[in-house]
Amino acid sequence: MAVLVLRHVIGRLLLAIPMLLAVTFGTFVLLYSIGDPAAAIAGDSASAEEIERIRQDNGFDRPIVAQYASWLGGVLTGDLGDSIRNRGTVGHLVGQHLPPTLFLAVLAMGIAILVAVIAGIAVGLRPGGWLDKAVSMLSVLGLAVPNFLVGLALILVFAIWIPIYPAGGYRSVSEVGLTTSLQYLVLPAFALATSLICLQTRTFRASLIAEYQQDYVRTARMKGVSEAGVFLRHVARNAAAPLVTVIGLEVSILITGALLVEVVFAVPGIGTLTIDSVRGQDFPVVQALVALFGAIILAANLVADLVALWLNPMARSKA
Amino acid sequence: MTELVTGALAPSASKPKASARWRVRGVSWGARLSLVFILASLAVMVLVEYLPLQDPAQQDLVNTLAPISGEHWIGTDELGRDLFSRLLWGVHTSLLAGLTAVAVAVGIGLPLGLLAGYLGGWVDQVLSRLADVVLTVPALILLLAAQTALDTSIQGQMAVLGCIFAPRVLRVIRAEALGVSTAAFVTAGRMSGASHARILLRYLLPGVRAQVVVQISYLLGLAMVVEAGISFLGIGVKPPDSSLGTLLIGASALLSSHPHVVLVPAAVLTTLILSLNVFGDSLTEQRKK
Repeated sequence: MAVLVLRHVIGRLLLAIPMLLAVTFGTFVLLYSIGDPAAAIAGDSASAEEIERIRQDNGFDRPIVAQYASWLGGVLTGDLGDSIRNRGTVGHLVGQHLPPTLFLAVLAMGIAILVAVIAGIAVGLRPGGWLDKAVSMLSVLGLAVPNFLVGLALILVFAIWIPIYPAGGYRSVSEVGLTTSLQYLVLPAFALATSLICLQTRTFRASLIAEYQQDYVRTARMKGVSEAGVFLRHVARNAAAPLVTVIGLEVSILITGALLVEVVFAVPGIGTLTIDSVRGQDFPVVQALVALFGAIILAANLVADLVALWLNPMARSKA
Repeated sequence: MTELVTGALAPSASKPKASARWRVRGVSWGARLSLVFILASLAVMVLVEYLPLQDPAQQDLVNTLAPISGEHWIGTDELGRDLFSRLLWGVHTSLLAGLTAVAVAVGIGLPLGLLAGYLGGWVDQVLSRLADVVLTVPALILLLAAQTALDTSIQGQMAVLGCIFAPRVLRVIRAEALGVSTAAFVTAGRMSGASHARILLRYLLPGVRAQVVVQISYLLGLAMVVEAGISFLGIGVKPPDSSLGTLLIGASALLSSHPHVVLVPAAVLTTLILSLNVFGDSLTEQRKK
């Protein structure tokens, strides 16, 4: 068993690492070969000689593969280069903006899983009922509304009409304590969670319905297992596997969503950093962020894969 | 319908019955309404130049944030510009942007997908791996990275977005073409001497046509969300041009005093995306039957 899982992990890593290299190399070519970092550093008013000088000083005239190799070497030793627009290293900048985003993402995912499991159970146990219809219509609507609009709506309702939460900003836990810090993130977390809730509810509902039609459910009922026991010991565990896979895939939705939601709520996280870096054409930061997002997504898929494997022994033999 | 008999046995028959009651001769009312809304928006996109609208850029600093009236159907914005006119022009810009992205995506993804599915072998391997790499990173992130490097206008950005969406089209069309290309009539076509080009155009292309329409519907919705998002961030469509995204830029400031200035474009954007999704869903369901 342990050997099987280990072999699975290694197999997946062997696929994920070349993927990450390809993603970062593609981005690097896009930024440093098709784009012009020297011109971005020099600004609009610079002369051609100035740009040329900057290009040579920073080594942007070297072959692109050589530049990528030195970037990659830097990454492996923990050096991501210096930001063009901000003082300090890229690593420091990213580290500074990471905590609010992580906090926000965990909170949003927690809300999403909680709501989706409850809603999924409520409708999955009684498919075709009025509640089921209402929830499936709501989830179609929820997937259509861009999450920055959900954010604006939440601000309108819970910060302006009923002012119980701040409309934006962020204070760290070390600054104001956990409860006050949470206050700032409640609305953005719900804005971020909306589309996740809809996707997860759909998935969990469908898999619950499919599981309840399996023979083992009938067998369990026949041998006298209570309805709660059937659900908790048999159905829920199997129905959770597709949910876990979807949660793994949702990480990229979470990243995309955080970009806009953080800007709407003025949360100084990775999303805000990304947007500022794009506006300021901060090449090293953008390159580092794409690499970071790629790594997070590949890692999340791997973890989701392993959890699904743990939940569903049937898949182990296939792995 | 054999649903009663098979319902308990076949998991595929357990599709939500909720939609069945909505359906009138095969197509739900939701899907019909969606189609009407999509067609109306397309009509606005094409005809907006010829409509007797006020100049969307004409400022009227005496009448800023005017209420709804006969002259200004949904009032004016913070610079006194007619919101109704800006809304219709916004639909024009946003739909055009979305269609640009979709045209590029289908233009690249469809032929390559057909080739990958039909030829198989190393062509398929190379194209599919390439698609995997592009699909690893979210579309918006890739678009922003490209924008950092290229710093282009909205049409350029949408062309880039089309390239980023192309692998999605490629994947779907490849799978579809793979299925069609093993069909007996394709083998018969080859045996009767039809060239590869003829097989691709006359045998495979009609087979994947329905799937292309479904993809266009979904991708147009996705592209419009992206356009609204980047324009809202001030990266896409630049003011004073109006798009459904730029109309929301002043949103946070105006939300408390004049929510309708924000809510109307937000509602139009949401309804349009919802319509495209529902339309795409109904086409997918039609094909399953």
